Amino acid sequence: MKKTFRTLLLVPYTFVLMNWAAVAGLYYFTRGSRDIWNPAGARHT
Amino acid sequence: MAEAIFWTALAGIAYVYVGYPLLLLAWRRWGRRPVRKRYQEPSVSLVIAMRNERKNVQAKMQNCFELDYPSGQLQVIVSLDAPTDGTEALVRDYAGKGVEVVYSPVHDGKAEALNRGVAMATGEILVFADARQQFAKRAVRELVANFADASVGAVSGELVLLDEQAQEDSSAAGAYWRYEKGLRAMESDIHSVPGATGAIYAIRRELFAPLFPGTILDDVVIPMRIVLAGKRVIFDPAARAYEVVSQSTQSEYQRKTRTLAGNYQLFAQMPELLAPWRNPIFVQLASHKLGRLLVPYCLAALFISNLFLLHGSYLVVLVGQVLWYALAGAGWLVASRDSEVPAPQLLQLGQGER
Repeated sequence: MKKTFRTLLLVPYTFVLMNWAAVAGLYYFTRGSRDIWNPAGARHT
Repeated sequence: MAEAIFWTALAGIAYVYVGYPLLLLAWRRWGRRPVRKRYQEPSVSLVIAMRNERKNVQAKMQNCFELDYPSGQLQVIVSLDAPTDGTEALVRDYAGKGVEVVYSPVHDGKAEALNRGVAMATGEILVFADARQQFAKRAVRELVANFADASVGAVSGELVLLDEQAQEDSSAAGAYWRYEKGLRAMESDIHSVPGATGAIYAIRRELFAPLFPGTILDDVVIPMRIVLAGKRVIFDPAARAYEVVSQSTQSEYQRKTRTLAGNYQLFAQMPELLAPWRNPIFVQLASHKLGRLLVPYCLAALFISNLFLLHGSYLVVLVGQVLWYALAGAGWLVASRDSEVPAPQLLQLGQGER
């Protein structure tokens, strides 16, 4: 029950976060930050 | 005016998340192009670009030695981009065991590291991998078998995200990744995937052209060049790599941010991709990659326009939106509490990389 409730909250959170990532990605691109080796780097696309 | 914006935004969002997958389902039903896969053993160069991978090097090298592929046909190249954590010393230990090492004392990025690695490659097929993920034993064999089909120029394997119990990640981020892979499978069946999985993909060596310095998404740029050259880029889930993930929603967010920044760069570097007469998978690229870039603005437009439409069913939609974002906020609190990463992850973006 607790797990279901948690999932119920995490689905909209993940959706919003992934969409926010597109806005952040534009900001990131325009600032010219391209260090792919950053720990947050793209590991699978 | 508000109604027009509302319905345009809603249609855009619905197309990207529902309409496009349905279009792919129908398209695949009528236009499936099977790949004639045949097991063979051409020479292969496995290129792994690394920077600071001290904790992953030994497992990755061991994984390379355990692959089910004739060692005489497999060249392993590690291209080091000025590591500072001792990765070089660890990799050098494997130089006597058949691993070829390219070292750059200057940190100039993954794209350049890949260029240097590929320059040393002698195999007919190039396989690209990252240090963090482990290949399944048959992964190279499965990738390579697809090149028996002359129309195939590149093959993307499947990255399986595992949780800390080594089970397939069942979190929301894991579900999102599975949805993504479902789209790729359908795109592959029709023609090509607009991008490969960086952790595991292969191309014909003659189709490689050096990457521009600073390229963020080698695994999209290389495949899209191959598509423009008239070959297919397919997805083969039989070729698997595994990665154990933790704090998966935040990790997925950071990865996604970089990926989407890379998509902006992709369209800036290769504007011909946006020309339907040049790009044979224009619909897939526009729907999958470009659509994802536009959805957040559609979401904002939907919400704002809805604020001016406070009657009838519009009011119901507005309540639904408010509830959705309230749940997302609660989800953020839950994720922040569960994670060691501080909550204001959203603000962390790019602060270390001016």
